[in-house]
Amino acid sequence: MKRLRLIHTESSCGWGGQELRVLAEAAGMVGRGHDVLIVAPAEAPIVREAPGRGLSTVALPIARKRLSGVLAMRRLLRERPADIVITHSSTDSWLVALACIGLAHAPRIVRIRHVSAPIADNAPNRWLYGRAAAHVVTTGEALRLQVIREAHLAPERVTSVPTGIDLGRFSPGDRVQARAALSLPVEAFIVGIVATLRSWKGHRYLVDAVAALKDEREGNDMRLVIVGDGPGRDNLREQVRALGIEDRVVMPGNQSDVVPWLQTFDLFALPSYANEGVPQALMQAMACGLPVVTTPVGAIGEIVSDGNTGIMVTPRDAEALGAALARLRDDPPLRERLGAAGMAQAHQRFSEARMLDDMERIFAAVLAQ
Amino acid sequence: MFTGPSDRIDLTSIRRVLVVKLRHHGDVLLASPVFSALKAHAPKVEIDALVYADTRDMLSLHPAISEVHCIGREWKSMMAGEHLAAEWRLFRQLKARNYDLLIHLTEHTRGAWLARGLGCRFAVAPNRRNKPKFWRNSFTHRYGLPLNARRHVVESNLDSLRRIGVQPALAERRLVLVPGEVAEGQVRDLLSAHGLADTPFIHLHPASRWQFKCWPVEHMAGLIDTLAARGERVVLTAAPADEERAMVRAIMARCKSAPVDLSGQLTLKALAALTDRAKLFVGVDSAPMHIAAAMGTPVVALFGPSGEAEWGPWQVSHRVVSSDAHPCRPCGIDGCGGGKVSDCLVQLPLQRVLRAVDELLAMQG
Repeated sequence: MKRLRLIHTESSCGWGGQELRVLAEAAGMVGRGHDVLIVAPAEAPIVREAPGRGLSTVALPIARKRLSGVLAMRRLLRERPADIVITHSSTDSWLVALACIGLAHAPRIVRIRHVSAPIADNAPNRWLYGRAAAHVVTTGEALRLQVIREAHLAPERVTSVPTGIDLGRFSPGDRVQARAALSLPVEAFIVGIVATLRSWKGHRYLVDAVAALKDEREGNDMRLVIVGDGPGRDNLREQVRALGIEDRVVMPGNQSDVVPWLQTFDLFALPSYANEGVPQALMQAMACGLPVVTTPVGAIGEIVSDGNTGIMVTPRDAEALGAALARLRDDPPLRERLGAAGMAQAHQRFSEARMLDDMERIFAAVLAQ
Repeated sequence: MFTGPSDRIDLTSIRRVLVVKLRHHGDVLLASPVFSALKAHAPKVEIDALVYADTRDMLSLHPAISEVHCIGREWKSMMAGEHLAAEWRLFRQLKARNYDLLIHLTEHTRGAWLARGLGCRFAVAPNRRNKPKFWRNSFTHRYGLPLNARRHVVESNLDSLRRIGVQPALAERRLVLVPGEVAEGQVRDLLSAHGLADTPFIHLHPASRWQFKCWPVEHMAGLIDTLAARGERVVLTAAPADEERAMVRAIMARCKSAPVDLSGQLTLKALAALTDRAKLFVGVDSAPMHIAAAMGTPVVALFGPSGEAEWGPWQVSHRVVSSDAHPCRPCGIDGCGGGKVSDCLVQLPLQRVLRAVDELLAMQG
């Protein structure tokens, strides 16, 4: 594809997975020769973070749905015509769509939906998704089906393009060395989880399961490493204390770099029971060659295949979870097989290059319409 | 906020800069972002280039460059007196430009003589530990080269700017090559004459100045025939050099289909104009591959002994096809054992190249 002029708009002033996706996609597209500009409110963290990654930004008052935002956007599109504008949040999607009405050489709009908030069934929304946007992209297949259903879109107008992960960074390491560096026991069997400490991530079932699996034989000493922080921290600490397994559970809190922690694990567990999209942590663990134990919740079934790349258990069932952990602990060849298959899967489906390929393909199709 | 090195150069005190790159075509093109990035950070500065005359077209018409000065490759074979006269003319010409800053992008000895002879206030060069004191002391700033890591040549060139306090944005790192209206017109006519005025085509440049970077002619012919059988139009090019044209003749002799053969007919500017109109470029690690990247045409590049980390297609949609059965690559030598034949390329299967072509074509919708 020839060089495109792309603009990413982001009205949200948050800082998380969504913003990282915008930056990764923008940098990736410059890497493929396209012109990319990020437009966001001056106070948005993304405006602060982009220049350090060599990306250009323009600050416009687009944090709220106001006429001034529409006019500013329209002025920008006149001065810097674009082939495609990629919108990320509700507010900027509205402002861009309105700014393009009657505009000469209006760009095509590609809307990315990162969240599963419901789409109200009304005429303005039907126009926004069905007419104003040339294509809708979601970050997972479950989200895609939701958009198709709620916005009444033809399936071919909506594509799921999961966020790619940096496979150069998320890769297996030397487990012994990684454990030594973090003062974790070299001979123990370590079950790990990386997730915000929220009820629906299912930490408490994991703690129960590990507590029940007490086995002092060499190599069977099971430890649990809980990386992350959140509202559930105190409850979780209390549970660990009540079960008397403080010596077997490590809770290092939030970590800016989770790779060294992943590299200490023997297996990765994510026993969520609700509210899951496509958990990045699960893809990252698979990229590090870890076998995973998880639940068929949200879009998890899209990335983990039971018996091939991981083991699926019933949500909120500490006993079933414990059985899966024990099975993997006692069967190293199975761990090996699941881990290798998960890593192959990650390289095939979760790479940043794959994400960029998919987006370029959508841009080409949209421009050919 | 980072302020950069303490001995960074205040660009407002600089009026004129000379950037020296004495290498082959591809290398010179990979230096093109140095000019654009510097110009973007110091719009009032005049920037000149000094290159070998045959590589001049890689930089001429570059919007950030004021003058391109040249050294003839044939100077060395001239009579001593003539050679000296040519050198003197060049020196006078450069001296008259009154450069404040010289940026030397190679370890060529000439850079040291120029830095001293032209009396520039500042001179920047790569930090080569193996160079003699005389050379090293000729420069006020020496930029670091990676010790054990692999870094793309474009980034290494731009390190000369980072060393003096200029941090280039991603978009400023793009290759710049302007074919110009004359070349564009020539190519338009040439394509019309072959019935390709408005037909999408694939540009294939099989040869390189170095035969150890090439893929066997049988494979190339197989690739062309497979593409032709699918209804793709293929245009073949090669430099006017005898060996390269011989290679194209050998490929044509093995082809069952009839690709358009423009080998030896195009200047470098015309080659750029041609690539610009192609929907895909297929070639080896060579200057035309970098030209395709500069024009923003998707690239399939076959790599053997040279490394894609340093020399891969820059800022363009691409696929690098290289052997995963040869742990010895990239070795950086001229064929296995210096024998001019690279097994990692000879054994690179046609299917791998075809898959890369398919992937890039699929992305064009």
